Formats: sequence, C-alpha cells, structure tokens
Amino acid sequence: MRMTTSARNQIAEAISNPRRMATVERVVVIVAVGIFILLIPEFTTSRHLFLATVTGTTAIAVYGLAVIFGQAGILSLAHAGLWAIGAYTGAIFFREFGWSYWAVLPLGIIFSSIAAAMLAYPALRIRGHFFLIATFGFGELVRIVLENGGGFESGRRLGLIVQGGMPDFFGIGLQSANSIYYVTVAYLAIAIVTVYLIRRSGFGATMRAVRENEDLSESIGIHIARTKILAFTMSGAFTGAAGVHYAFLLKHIEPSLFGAQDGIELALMVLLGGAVPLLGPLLGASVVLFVPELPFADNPNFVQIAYGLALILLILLLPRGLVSGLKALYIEARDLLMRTFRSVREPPQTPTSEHT
Amino acid sequence: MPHSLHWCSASLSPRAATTTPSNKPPPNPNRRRSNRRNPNLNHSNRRSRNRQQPQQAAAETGIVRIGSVQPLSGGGLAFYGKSEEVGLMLAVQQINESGGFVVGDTTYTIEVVARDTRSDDAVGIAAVQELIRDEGIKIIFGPIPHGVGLAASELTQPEQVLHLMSLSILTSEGGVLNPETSQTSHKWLFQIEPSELTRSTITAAGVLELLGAQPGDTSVIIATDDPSGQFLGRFYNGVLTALGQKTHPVVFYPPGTTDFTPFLTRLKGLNPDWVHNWYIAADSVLIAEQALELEVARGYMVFGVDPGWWQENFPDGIENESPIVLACINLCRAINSSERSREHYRAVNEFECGDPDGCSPAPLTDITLWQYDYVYMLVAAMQKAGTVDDTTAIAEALEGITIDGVLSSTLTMDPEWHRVAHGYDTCRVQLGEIACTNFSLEEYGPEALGVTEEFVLANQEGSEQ
Amino acid sequence: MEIFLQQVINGLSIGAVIALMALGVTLIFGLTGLVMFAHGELLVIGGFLAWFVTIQLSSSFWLGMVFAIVAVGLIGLALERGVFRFTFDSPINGFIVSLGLIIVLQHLLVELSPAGASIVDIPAPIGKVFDLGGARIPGTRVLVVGATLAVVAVMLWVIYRSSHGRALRASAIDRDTAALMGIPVRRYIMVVFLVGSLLAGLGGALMIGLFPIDPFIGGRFVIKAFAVALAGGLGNPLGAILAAFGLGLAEAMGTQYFQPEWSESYAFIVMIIILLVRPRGLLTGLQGPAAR
Repeated sequence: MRMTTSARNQIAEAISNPRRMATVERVVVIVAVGIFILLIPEFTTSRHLFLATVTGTTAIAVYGLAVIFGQAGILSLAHAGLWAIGAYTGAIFFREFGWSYWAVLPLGIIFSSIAAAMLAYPALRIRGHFFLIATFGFGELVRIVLENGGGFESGRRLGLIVQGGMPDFFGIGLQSANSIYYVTVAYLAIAIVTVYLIRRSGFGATMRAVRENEDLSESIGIHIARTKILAFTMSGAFTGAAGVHYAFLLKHIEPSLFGAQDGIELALMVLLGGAVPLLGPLLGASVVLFVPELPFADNPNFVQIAYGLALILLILLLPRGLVSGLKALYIEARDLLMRTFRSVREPPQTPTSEHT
Repeated sequence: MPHSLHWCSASLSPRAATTTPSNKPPPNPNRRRSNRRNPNLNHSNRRSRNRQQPQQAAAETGIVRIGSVQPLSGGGLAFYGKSEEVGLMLAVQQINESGGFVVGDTTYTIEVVARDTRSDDAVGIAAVQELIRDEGIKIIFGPIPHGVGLAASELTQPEQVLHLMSLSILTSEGGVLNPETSQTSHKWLFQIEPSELTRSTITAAGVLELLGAQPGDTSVIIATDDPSGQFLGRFYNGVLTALGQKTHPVVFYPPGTTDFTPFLTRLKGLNPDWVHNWYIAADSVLIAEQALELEVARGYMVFGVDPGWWQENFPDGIENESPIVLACINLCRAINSSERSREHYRAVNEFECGDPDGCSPAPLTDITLWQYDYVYMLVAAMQKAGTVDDTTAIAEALEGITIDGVLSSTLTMDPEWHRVAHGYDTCRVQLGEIACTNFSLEEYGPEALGVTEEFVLANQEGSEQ
Repeated sequence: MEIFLQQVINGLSIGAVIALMALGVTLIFGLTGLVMFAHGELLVIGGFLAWFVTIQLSSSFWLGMVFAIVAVGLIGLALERGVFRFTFDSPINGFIVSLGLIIVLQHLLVELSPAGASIVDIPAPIGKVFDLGGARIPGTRVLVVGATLAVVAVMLWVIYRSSHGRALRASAIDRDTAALMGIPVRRYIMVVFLVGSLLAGLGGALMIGLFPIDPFIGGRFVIKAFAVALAGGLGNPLGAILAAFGLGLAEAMGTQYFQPEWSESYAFIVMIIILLVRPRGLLTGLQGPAAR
C-alpha cells in the first residue's frame, strides 16, 4: 500500500504537533468504526443485535446531552425526562390518535425540544451545581407526572403498549431485526453528523465562548439567554427522536424506564466516553450497555462495582473521557514508533522512503 | 445473567439429533450455551445427577428444549423471578428423573434454557429474541413483570412460539388476550394465572370472611403507586365494593416509601373498619406494623406474605389484638395447606436448599406454583397433540385440557380465554395464633358470588368518593 | 384534630432524618463546593452497621448506634483522604466521583451484607407507644426527633458561637483568604467530612430503628437533603434544618389534604421554584468557593 504525499505531510505535521491526529488518521478511525457498525448484523446473535439497536438509540440521546455539555458546558440530569417526553409523545399519538411512526417522529422531536427549551430557562438564572440539582428534580417530576397523570391508558395505567410498530419505508420493511438496526444506525449517523456540523458552525463557537466565560461573551455582544435556549432546544431534538424510536423498539414503555437513575446513567455515558470527541457518546453508551454482557461478568454486583470504580478512576485520571484517553495513548504510541523508526532510518540517510 | 441447565441431556444430545421424530433437526445444538454464566441461583448444577432410566419401552429418545426468561438479578422483582424459575426447574427435574415422557414412539426429556432479564426491559426483550432466533426455542415461560411480558408477547406470537406467562394483565381490559385474539393473532399465548377478577374476588371474599367483616363495613386500600399497584389496587377496590363494603379511592404511596405514617393517618381519618395492603409483600408487612402502632382500623389484610415467613420472623407472634389476614399469592407454603401442596413445598425446599423441612430464611412468599403445574400441563398437551414441536397443534391441545395439579385437582385451561382458574389460601393471624383456609373457586369465585367485571371496572374509585 | 396532630408528629419525624442528612450535605458543600450525592449511601451503611451489631452480633441497639456513628465517620474521612481531596479544584468532577461512589458503595454493601440485597430490620428500640390526645406517638419516633434536635442544637452552637465555627464560616465564605489568614482550611475540610459522616451514621442508625432499609434507598434521602439544603441556602446550616422540618411537615400535610401519590413531588417542586425565584436559596447561602 502506498501512502500519498499529502497524507505523509499530514502525519509529519501531526508529529510536529503531537496533540493532534492527522485528518487521514481520523478518517481511517471513523471509517473503521463505521464498517464495524454496519457489519454487526453479519456476525452477532439476535440478542446482541437487539442490544446494539438499543445502544444506538440510547447513544442518540447521549449525543443530545453532549451538545449542551461538550459545547455549552452545561450538564443535565433531566435528559431521561426529555427522552420520556419523546417516547410518550410517540406512544400516545400512535395509540390514541392512530398517527403513523413517521408522523409521530417529528412530533416527538418538537415536544421534547419545547420541554428542553423550558428546562433552559432555569439555566439562565441558576448556575453550576444548582442547575444540576434542579435538573435532577425536573427529571423526577417528569417521572412522577407520567406515573400519576393522564387517563390515556383508559384508566389502567400499565404503561403503554405500542402494538404493531414500525411501518414500511418506501418498500423497505422495517419489521425485521436487521432493518430496524440499520434504521437506527442511520439515525445515529445523522445525529453524529449534526453534532459535527453544530461544532463547526458559528453557533458552536458561540456556545464555547459562553462556556469559557459568560461575562466576556456578553460584553462582545453574544446573547447568552438565546444561546442557551437554542442549545437546549437542539439537545431536546436528539432526545425526542431517540424517545420515539425507543418506544417502537421496546413496544412497551412505562415511567420507571425514565427515572432519575436513568438520567444519571445518561450523564455517566457522556462522561465516560467524553462529550467533546465525536465518538465519545457512542463509546460511553456501548460500554455501559455491553459490559454486563461480557462472559466473565457473571456476578452483576462485581460488574457494578467495577463500573463505579472505573468511573471514579477515569474522572481522577482521564477527566476528558475514554475516547480522549485512547487517542492520547494512540498518539503516544505512534510518536514513539515514529521516533524509533526515524532514528533507525535517518543515520544512513537512505533516499528510498516510498515504502510502507 | 443467562444460564441454562441440562438436567439429563448430556448423554442424550448426540443421539437426539438423529432420533427426533419430525423431519426438522433440533435447533442449533452447537450454539447452545452451557452453564458458564450462572450467578445467582445456588441450585443450578447441584442436582444434575443422571438417573435417566426410561421406564417406558419407547425405542427412541429426544429432548424438548424450553426457554425461561425471568428477572434473576437487579431490582426487587428478582426474588419473584427466581421463585418462578425454581417452580419450572423443579417440575422439569421431576419429569426427567422419572424417565421423561413419551410422545409417539419417542421418550423425551426436557432441557431448560434460562435467561436473566437483569430486571431490565431491554435485556428481557433481547433474551426473548435470543431464545427464539439464536436458540430456535419454540416454547417460552415468562418473563414478569407486566410491561416486559406484554412486549415479549409481541415478539413470540408472530413467530408462533408457545408462550406461557403468569400475568393477569394478559386477559384484563387493555390486555392482548381475549376470545377473539386467542383464536387468531395470539393463538400461542397462554395466561397461567387466573383472571384478575377471579383472583381479586376469591382473595377479597376470603379476607372479609376471616376478618369477620359485615356488609356495610368500611374497607380501604393502600397500594404502591406503580403501574402494577395502580392496576391491582383499583381493581380490588371495585371487588370490595361489589362484595358490599363501603369503599374510598385507593391511597397510593410512592414506590420505595418506608415511612407510611402520613398515608396511614390519612386512612385513619376515613374511620375504616378494615385496611387492605396491596401488593408488594415486604411493604405490606411494614404497613401492617405501622398501622398497628397508629391503631388505624379493626383489622388488616397483608398481601403476598406466607404464614411460614410470619412464624419465622415473629416466633412469639406480635401483639396484634386486631386480626391480620395473610393473603397468599397461590397456596400458602407452611400451614394447613392440602397434603398435595405440603408435598410440593417439601420438594421445593429440598430443591432450593437441600432440606425438605424448610429453608432459612424462608421466602416471604411462595410463587413457584405460578410455573410448576404448567410444565405438567404442557407435557400433557404434547402427548395429547402427539407432537413436541408443532406449536399450533400443542396450543390447540392446551385449549380445554384438564390436569390433576397442586393448585387444583381439576386445573383447566379455558379454551376461549387461554387462562386457568383455581382457589386461593388465606390465613388469619392474631396474637401468635395462625389458621389458614382454602377458598375454592367453586364457592368463592366470581360466578358463585355474582361479581362481574363490568361492575368492578365501574366502581374502582370506591362507593364513597 | 387528632388527625392533624398525628400528621404534625409524622412530619417532624420525617423531617428529623432529612435534617441530619442536610446538615452534613450543606456543611460539606459550604466548605468545598462538592455536591456529595453519595451521602445517602453513608446513611444506609450506618443503618446496616447498626443492624449488623444489633441482630447479627445479638448486641444492643445502643451499641450498634455508637458503632455505626464511629464507623461511618471514619469511612467519610477515608473517602475525603482517598478520593475527594483530589477533586476540590473541580467540584463538578467531585460530583461525578460521588455518583460513581454511589454505585460502588451500594453493590459493595449487597456483596458484603449477610442479607444480600434484601431488606433488613431490627425490633423497635423503644416499643412503647404514647397517646397524646388521640394521636399515637411511637417511642422510637420521640427518640429520633429528640436526638436530632439535641445534635442539631449542639452543631448550631459550635458553628455560630464558637471560635472554630467562626473560622469554619470564614473558610466557607472565602477559602483562599481564610487560608492566608492562617486558618487551617484543609484540616477544617477533613473535620467537616468527618462530622458530616458521623451525622449520616447517626441518621442511619436512627432510621433503622424506625423502619427496615435496603441497600438502595439512600438516593431518596439524599435528594431530599439537597432540596432542603438548597431551599435553606446551600452552605447555611440553620436554613437547611428549618427547611428539613418544613419539608417533612409539607409531605405529611400534603398526603393528608391533597393527593397522597404526589407527596414525593413536593420536594422537587419547592426546590425548583425556590431556585427560580432566589437562585441562591431562601436564606442567604453560599455559591460555594469554586462554583463560578
């Protein structure tokens, strides 16, 4: 395999700036991850295919959280509540009003976004920890309201069954486990690209400015309130889509799926993988949902203990999350390799460098 | 955590591949999971000694693989899930140790492929998919609770997998099973628990009789504020109204409550004669203790607590001059049950902890009977249908089948509703004295007492709103 | 009337356990800016230790209580030394660490406890039930409220009247300046962790005297503790205690005169409203040294 000149230049540049990965390296990683994700149905069991579908769906909600946490620097424990709003919107309009999956999907996104925008209002006044605790309260309130409110289940509040499920999409049957998985992957890809675009946009820069220094941002003309509300609204769109899809995937939802504990779990996923790296939320969701499946994980207590300890160590040692840690490890290894390679190669001054 | 038990299959499985009577080979024998993951149940392999000696002179042997999906870890339902699995495993062990059963000219033993939902709906659904698609299982027991069970039935029925669940919601209003669907879309789904109307009516009638309640007394209910509690509590309220009690809207407490005094004080303000505690056994004992301190009513019903547990935890009794009535989930485990149920519980104890005289600590209640009899019922249906893998034929054979079970000597599967019916045990506890009574379907069932589902559903908010 | 009186008593005893928690939570926050969510687990560990001594070792409840207080205090101190002191520069990290700690402590308890994940219970330490104008007052509840009030009074005296308390409050207002003035802030942080944990141990022991506990109930109490600590102004001990009893009474009265199934939500509603109206809490609280 021959390496192109530009790629070599990029690697050379990356070596001179050891904290960066060259674009070609990033592309390779993303393509490799993409291929792996697309090939999952080829080699996995139905059990793990379903869990992978759930992981993909959960990861969409985690990307929503990553938008506000990674860019605007605001962590929220209420995203399980926003997720629930998406799921319940989908289930109620599908069941009670006969809307189709494709009709309730945008509706779930809208409702969840509105709720997220409402959640942003406290964020304007309440800072830091205070906001975190307030979001915890918000998440629990959503659950309590779902538990007690509404007569949508004809007075028998056993949660909502979503019977039937997903329809065909332009001739593609969405009934089989494989096609549902691929649809989920498509959503996930859209979510990741959206996060990437938000990050690259002027609005991404605005959010980061607010994150770094609110007063300074305000003095240069950034509208803090508008920025935060817009950030939350976008974040809510992710959880809304994830919620509707989740309801159709599980075919049955109930309030206990979306409690404060689940809000904390979403936050853990984003922290574990890292909010800033593009693949962080996906990795975070995968680790949390798949570790209990590992063959040696036969005592659920030990899994949980190991998981908690890993989280503590990660925060103390790798506060930017697993992906950044892996990246740093890779860069270290690569640079070491390159240096060794160069020191071996350079003394003889060989002109033939076109191998690899 | 997934695990599977092959009671007697090790020596049989190589032959099974060639001797199964139908043309289909047994599903995926090489993808079968072994016992490698087996965390929580301590009974797993201990009793897998091979006493396989077919008594019948059938020429060939085969294996029937059935799936069991239950919550075995994580969350409060793990205890129920484990007990259900014990009931299933015990019946399977007994059948295999007695040499299996004969269908056609083949003697079959049963192999259970068990999976843990980890009390997580997504994992439960993944496990059901795994059993159906990866393991090729055609018969599945479980899972509980209501939500994940309903979701699981959405997966099994399109695949024509025979699915047996101990969930009364299946045939209740808003459930998926009724005389129409049981013949069409949900032909393979069976509710191995009586209807909520039957259970609530027999329980309520028994409780009121043992408390000594009169028509016109005030009965109030305190129940957990979760989907199951809301459903069960309000339904029971309608039944109490139907039985002539003055009733009020159910008082719901948030799940996880430990200090019930504000709720009990509210109940006390209604001047009740009797307080009924639904549905989580551990909560309902605690509620009774706190209610006795506050002197809320003249007597209390405690749901899902076994007299054996009571004796072990209160060896000297408690100072309750007000009577407490224990409503067992099926048949009480320790006292005054029929000879048949005593025998069953000795076997359960031996299976669970190697001692037929009882495990310590005793379980709060016993729900192995949500599964046990139905393994025998399934075997009877297979023999009647003459097949072990044509699920449609087995489902049709199950309709109307009657077996002599522990729960009832005439345990019958209703052909229209795909559900069973039987009586319940209830015990009265007062100052250390315990006496249990069986309330039969014939004398205390909804038909005998004239309680109808329409009336109950219309009166769930009580008579004195 | 007797129903009203009964609910007042119920409310006070609910408030007592929350107050013990809130005091620890608010003191730790005041000095370090740490939102210590794992405080509820310390409460649960206290309850389990009291149960272990009382039932498993067949000793007396009072010995169990002392053991629980001391042991949980030491655990809290160990957590400060071993974990939390590395997070004081970034309290949000401390918060996340405490979430991880919740998972570890809960499952460690399940693994180590002879009862596994199931509930544990002890007989009421004071079996007698008093009758006050028709209202029934179990003796254990008198003990719980009495012990709480006594401990709280001592704590408030130390914080507001002694020289140590003055130094503590100075450190809470501005850690750096206080350090420059010669106050051993680091040592005060250790003391606050120790004292906060002692209170959680006491709370746990008192709680198991009232009703059974399981390893997973800590979260319910810690969130209420934070709600009242917020309402009273985080970092303000007196405010937290008043708010704790206020919340207890609100829950009892709400159960009696409104919808019982909503009683759980009052804490959250009150908390959010207070935060919206007065982002720093009802009584003047502290934003915490590192929260900007």
